[in-house]
Amino acid sequence: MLPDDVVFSPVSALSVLIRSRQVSPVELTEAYLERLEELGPRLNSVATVSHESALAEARSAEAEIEKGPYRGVLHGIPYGAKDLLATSGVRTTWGAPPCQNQVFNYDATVVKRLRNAGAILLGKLAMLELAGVGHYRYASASLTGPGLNPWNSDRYTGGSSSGSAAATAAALVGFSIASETWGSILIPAGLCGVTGLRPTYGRVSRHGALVASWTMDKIGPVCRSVEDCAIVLKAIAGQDDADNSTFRDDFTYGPWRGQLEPLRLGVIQENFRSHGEPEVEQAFAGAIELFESLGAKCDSVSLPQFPYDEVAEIIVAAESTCSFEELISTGKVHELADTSQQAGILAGQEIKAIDYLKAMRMRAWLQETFAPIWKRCDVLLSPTSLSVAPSVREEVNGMFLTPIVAAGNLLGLPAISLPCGFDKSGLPVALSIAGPAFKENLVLQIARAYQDATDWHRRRPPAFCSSPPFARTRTEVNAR
Amino acid sequence: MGFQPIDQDRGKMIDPSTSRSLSTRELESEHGGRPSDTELYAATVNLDNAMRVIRAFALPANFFPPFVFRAR
Repeated sequence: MLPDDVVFSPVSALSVLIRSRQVSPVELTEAYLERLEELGPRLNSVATVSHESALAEARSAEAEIEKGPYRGVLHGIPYGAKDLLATSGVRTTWGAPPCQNQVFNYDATVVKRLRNAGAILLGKLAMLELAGVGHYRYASASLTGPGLNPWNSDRYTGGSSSGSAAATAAALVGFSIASETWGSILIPAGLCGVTGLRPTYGRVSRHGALVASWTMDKIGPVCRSVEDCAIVLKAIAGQDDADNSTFRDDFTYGPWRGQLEPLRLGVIQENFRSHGEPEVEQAFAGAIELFESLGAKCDSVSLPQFPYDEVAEIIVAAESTCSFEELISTGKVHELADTSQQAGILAGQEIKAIDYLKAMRMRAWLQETFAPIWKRCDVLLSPTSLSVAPSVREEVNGMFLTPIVAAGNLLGLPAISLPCGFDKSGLPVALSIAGPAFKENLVLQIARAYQDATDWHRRRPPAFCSSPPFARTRTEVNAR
Repeated sequence: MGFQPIDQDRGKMIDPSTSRSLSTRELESEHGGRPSDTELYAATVNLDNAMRVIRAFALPANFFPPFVFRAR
């Protein structure tokens, strides 16, 4: 069995261990499979484990690395995919009881690209049913039950990428793939203390992914560091004939500039007094101070007055109801676990064409209204959520969503969530950095500067460690 | 494997209001079934309110974007 210091390492450090033959892909895969199978169910974070195929891929990677060619940083690294990505011959449930036996005969483009990069698919990770787009009320709105937070299993992971965030935080996988329509990467990454990247709309192919809302859906990585997010994005980004929303230009990470001067960071003012937690506010204030100490200029910024939530609501409801037409017509919608989710999808049938089209016009108008913000600042900073992870039994419908989450998704902007502290009870607090379209590199560089100066992202949930937490290893230190 | 125990009873949680243990399946069945009329009404009202806000929003009369959404 591999020690915690190995399994909790970021991809960047794991790849060093693999290349230097200190750890083999088979050893690593066996270690993650054991954790995924033993610990995953305790967090309700696993949909399907592909034990045999993962080991076969690991043996193949090991042989190839031995003889060459070495495919790059992801070669031999085990990962998990949100269970909305099609995987040939392996069930893809979309987290929904009526789809629990669904099997596709092809792989999603993202899965294919990761295989080409040499990554090893361990299995499929749990999610809210149908990505939660019908407005679920409870965390239990999933085929696999409520997503339990590795930092405290009485708390919720956030959704809809509950399994991706929990499995990455608990080191059940090397990294994971998630998706976001309206907060589904950033929020669970934030509540579980890991780093999640929502790429620009069109940066990553959605071919083979559940269509929740085709003008809002994005696919991105959830990792244990910013650098890992860049590594994974590089592997999955790029034009794809099977998804005509994809952008032609390649994503390039780096070169690392090493300092933040003279970048301008716009700080979105949130109303913590009405619905936030003081400890989250304090941690966020501390992060701003740190950015300033690194040379960035931080100024408050207000978002344009705009009905963000209402426009997102109509677009997501109209598109998802259209996408789930068959579930409605066959009556299978009533097999969904959460009745609010059912009600939301059924109610979407009442949206008139004129309202959807007006919402899309307003969205394009927002693009023009938002543009001047990027003349005043390079990126936008905000707390990922105004509160830490809530009780898993609480009603959670929309409770995490601040206007920038809706704005960023309506505009298709890239954003990253990264840990920036913990509250007194040991639950993670996170900040988000959003940037202009296709400026992932800028967002990642700023986030990396923060992680280079802090160690929040290196903390480990104590219940998932077999040795004392927070011990730093030579491997990890070298990886910095 | 030497992990600290999370829950003695795998997959179960304690309902703080009743102190009884609930499995995932029990949680689902508590909230499962068909949506009530109240839930359907609430979902419709929610969308209705959003549509009202959208209809009241004034856009320039000649502002018609391309049908395909692109981030920019």
